[in-house]
Amino acid sequence: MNEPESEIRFNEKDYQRPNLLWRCGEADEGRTCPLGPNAAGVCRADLAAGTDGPPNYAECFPHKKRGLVCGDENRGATCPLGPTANGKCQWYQPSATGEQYKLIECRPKTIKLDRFECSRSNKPFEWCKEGPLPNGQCSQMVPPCHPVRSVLGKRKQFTFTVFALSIGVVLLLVASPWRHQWMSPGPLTSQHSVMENNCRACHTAGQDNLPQWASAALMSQAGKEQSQLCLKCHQLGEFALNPHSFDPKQLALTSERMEKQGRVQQDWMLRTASEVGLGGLEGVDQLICASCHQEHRGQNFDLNKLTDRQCQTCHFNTFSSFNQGHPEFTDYPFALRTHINYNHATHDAVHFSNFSRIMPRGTAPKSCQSCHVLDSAGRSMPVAGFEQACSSCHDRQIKETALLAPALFALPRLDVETLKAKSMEMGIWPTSQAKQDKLPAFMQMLFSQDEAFRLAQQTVQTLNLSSLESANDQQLQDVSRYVWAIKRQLLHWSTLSQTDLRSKLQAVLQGKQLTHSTVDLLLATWPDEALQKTAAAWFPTLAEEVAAHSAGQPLSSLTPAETAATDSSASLSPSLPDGWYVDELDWALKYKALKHGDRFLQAWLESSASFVLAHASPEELTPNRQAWMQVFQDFSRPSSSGRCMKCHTAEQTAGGNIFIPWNGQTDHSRRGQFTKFGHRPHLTLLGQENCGQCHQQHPFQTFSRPEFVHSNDTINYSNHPSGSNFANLNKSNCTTCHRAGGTDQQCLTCHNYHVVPPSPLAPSSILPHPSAAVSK
Amino acid sequence: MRSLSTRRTRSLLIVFVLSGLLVLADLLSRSSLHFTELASGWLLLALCLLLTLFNLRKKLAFLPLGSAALWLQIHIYAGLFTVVVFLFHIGWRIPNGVFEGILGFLFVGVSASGVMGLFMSRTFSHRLTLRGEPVLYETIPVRQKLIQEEVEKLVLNCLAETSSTAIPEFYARKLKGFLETRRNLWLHLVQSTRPIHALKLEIRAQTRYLNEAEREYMRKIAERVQLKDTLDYQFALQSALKYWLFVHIPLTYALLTFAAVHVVLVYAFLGGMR
Repeated sequence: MNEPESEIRFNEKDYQRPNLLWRCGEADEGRTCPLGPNAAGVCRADLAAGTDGPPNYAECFPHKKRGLVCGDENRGATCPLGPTANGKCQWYQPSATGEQYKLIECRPKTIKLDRFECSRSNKPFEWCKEGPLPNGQCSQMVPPCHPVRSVLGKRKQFTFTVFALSIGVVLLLVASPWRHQWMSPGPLTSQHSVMENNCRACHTAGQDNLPQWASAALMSQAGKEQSQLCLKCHQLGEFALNPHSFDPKQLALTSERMEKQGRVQQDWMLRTASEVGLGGLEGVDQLICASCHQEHRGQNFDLNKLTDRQCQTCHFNTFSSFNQGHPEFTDYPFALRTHINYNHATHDAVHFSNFSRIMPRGTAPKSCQSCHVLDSAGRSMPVAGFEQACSSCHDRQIKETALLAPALFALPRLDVETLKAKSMEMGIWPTSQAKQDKLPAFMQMLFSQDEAFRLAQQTVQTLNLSSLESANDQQLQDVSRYVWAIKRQLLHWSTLSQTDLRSKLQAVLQGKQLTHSTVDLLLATWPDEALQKTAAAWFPTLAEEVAAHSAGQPLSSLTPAETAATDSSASLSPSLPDGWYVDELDWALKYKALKHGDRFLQAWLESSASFVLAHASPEELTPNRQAWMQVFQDFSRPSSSGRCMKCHTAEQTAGGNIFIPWNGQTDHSRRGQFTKFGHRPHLTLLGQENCGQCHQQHPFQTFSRPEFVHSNDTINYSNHPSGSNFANLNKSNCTTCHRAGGTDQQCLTCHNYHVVPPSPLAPSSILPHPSAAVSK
Repeated sequence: MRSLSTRRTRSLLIVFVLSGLLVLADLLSRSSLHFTELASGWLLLALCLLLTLFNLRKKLAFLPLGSAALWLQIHIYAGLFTVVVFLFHIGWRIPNGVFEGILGFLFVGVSASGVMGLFMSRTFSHRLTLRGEPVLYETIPVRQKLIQEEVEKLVLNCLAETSSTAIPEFYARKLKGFLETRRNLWLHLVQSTRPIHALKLEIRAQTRYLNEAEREYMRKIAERVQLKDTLDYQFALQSALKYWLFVHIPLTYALLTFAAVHVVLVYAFLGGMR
């Protein structure tokens, strides 16, 4: 029979079990229990005591000893011999032959004796020496103890505790409201520090929790979406994520050209990387921002930090450094269309060398920096401005009466005698000094909105208005209608209110979208007083005449004084506001600039330039446009009033429109976006007077600069770059210092990656509103 | 069988070559716009799991997975290589985020404890054989108790035989505390014999005032004091050999927990960059 106690085996030795999790509580006292605790850390003695009831647990539960007794029931246990040790009956008798033979007297049987024996092992030699007590109890009583953990057990418990604690800390980190701060891999750069705790400003997973992060981690393809978050603030144009933020078609053309020239890879590491598949990002048409800009590296980390090799990783040709392998410059500084038509060669070689004779009251520049000053960014050296650079010589030229000031308001010379002889009623018409046969372009432009005027003008186009003797009656009638159309329009424009003037000007502009400032400037500088006084001088009874003619009344109804023609030139030159005058030679109302930056001339030059088309089709050359273009031509002659366009240049946009960049600073953003140059450190190192070390002038060539002004004094507007007075720079200019062992020669020192200059940060919803900060 | 120095040289050479390849791969990948931290991160995680498998291997002794000695060698030198990979992964800079800082601290803790454990297992086991007979760690408390009982018995016998209180008083004043508790464990770790030397000097000084019988008792007591000191030495070194794993293994599991979350965070916030 199997007893439960028999499962426990004992050793008499003080056996230690360091590979178990629990050990006997009495072990340190030298009383190690041979049972030992179970795997759960419960004392087995205590466990057994709990099931069987006795207070203490013994090593075994002795059972009664089994023994063989005589099988003869009659004899029972009284057999004097009893069975042998191997269970045989000892009762035998001798045989007849004298040989001994065994007589089976009985079959011995096994019974439980009254004696107890140890049960802790099936093997008698493992029984305890003392054996069971007479009453059947084990002599080896085991007192229960409180098991303690072994070193291994303690380590496991501690490991589990730390593991659970780490999970708890992780859950605390990811579930707490401050998880964004805790999960952040590091502080943002100072530029982005305003978004320090706003992960969703830059990460699509910024507002998620741990399960959603896990899902995003498995399926994340949101690189471009994440970059779009960057572009909410950093506006880099249509091709923002394309390489160099550049038109991929143009870039492909460049790549194609390079491939035709053959590949040159001088840098062994880039060549090796390319061969082992760690080179450029082949097949990637768009780059995400984080490819180059690594965040969370601390407040002072340089987000634009890239190695030269990283810059060249996509490039067809590679080289080791600027000093070794960089291609020679071909056209640097890039030819740009400057905003000022300034000829360094003629000024230096002709004007400044004869300065005391040519310009006795002028101030000659002492160095380049007399006219060019460093900008606030320390990069370019724009022209200092008119007052500092030009005014000492050119201010008087601007204020002088223009040689070829265009007539703004003037009357055509008319054969008044013939008209009177034919009894044509035309009222007063001052004729004695008028020289021009046609109306000035300015008046034609203004009057072009009047249908009667346009028709009348068309009928007299072929006539010589100053000699009408050969004209027939119909032609004379046409001249009369033309004269009255002029008078009506003159009266109209000279008596306009400010409100009506705006609507009339907008009608004349034919919906041309000018800036508000230009329109306001047109209104503000409108010569209402000069026009009124001039019209009154020319036609003292203009209003009455026009009224009578419109009503069909004869002009003879007017008083004699009112109808008397005025031929005196003195009375035709009224006192006019500053800048306005009536030219005594041709009785034309003209304007001369009051100062540099004259607002009247600026307004009408800008307005008229907007009508100029470089390549206008016949359909586009409407009478109105032609008049406007003529106005621009009149105002823009280098010898015209103010002589604005002698120095300022006009440019043509890609759409063919003309505009005048009044600002003298050259727009560097339009060309050469791949390169950048800082003048400040170079001036500091090379000295203020040593610009010529790099900028070497071409020899004197010509006075004229045909890229700005044609030989017939008309403005050459184009979008082509202008020629330079200076020779191109050579790489040797730079490698003197920018070389190995010298100063910095990294790619990004001189090159920009994004060819579209980043515009000012766009206001975005991701940034906290200033009012929020104030309210806080 | 190869000698230890040959085996060590070979293993270090393998680590050195692997580190060189890692440096080259890092240089090449950093020459491009590839995000190298991803590759180094996965390599690092794989190595950490391989190192953790060493503990599992010890539990699965019945499986034919190679000898424990071989696994230990792999564990040691793979761990060394893991440190190199870790340095490349973090870009040789200290992580400055809270989460990554904890992760970095855990890795440093695991690595440092591993190096310390390697040092101790190489030196302490040798030291243990040089001083006293090897003693099973679990039996040290019993042995200590036996020594204390023997000394107390000697003191009582001395008192009964000589009627002198010199030794009992000395025992009560100087030896009782020394024999009852484990002393100078940190000093034993650094091989300092100053405390036992000082105690021996006091015993010697006391011996000058004892008679012959007492001197015999004192000699026996001094022998047992020396035995107790050796026992303390064994206990200190064996404790160090056992308890350094209290740092190494728990931090390993904490490290793996944080690393798993780190992988999730990286891929969630990386935004598809590969």
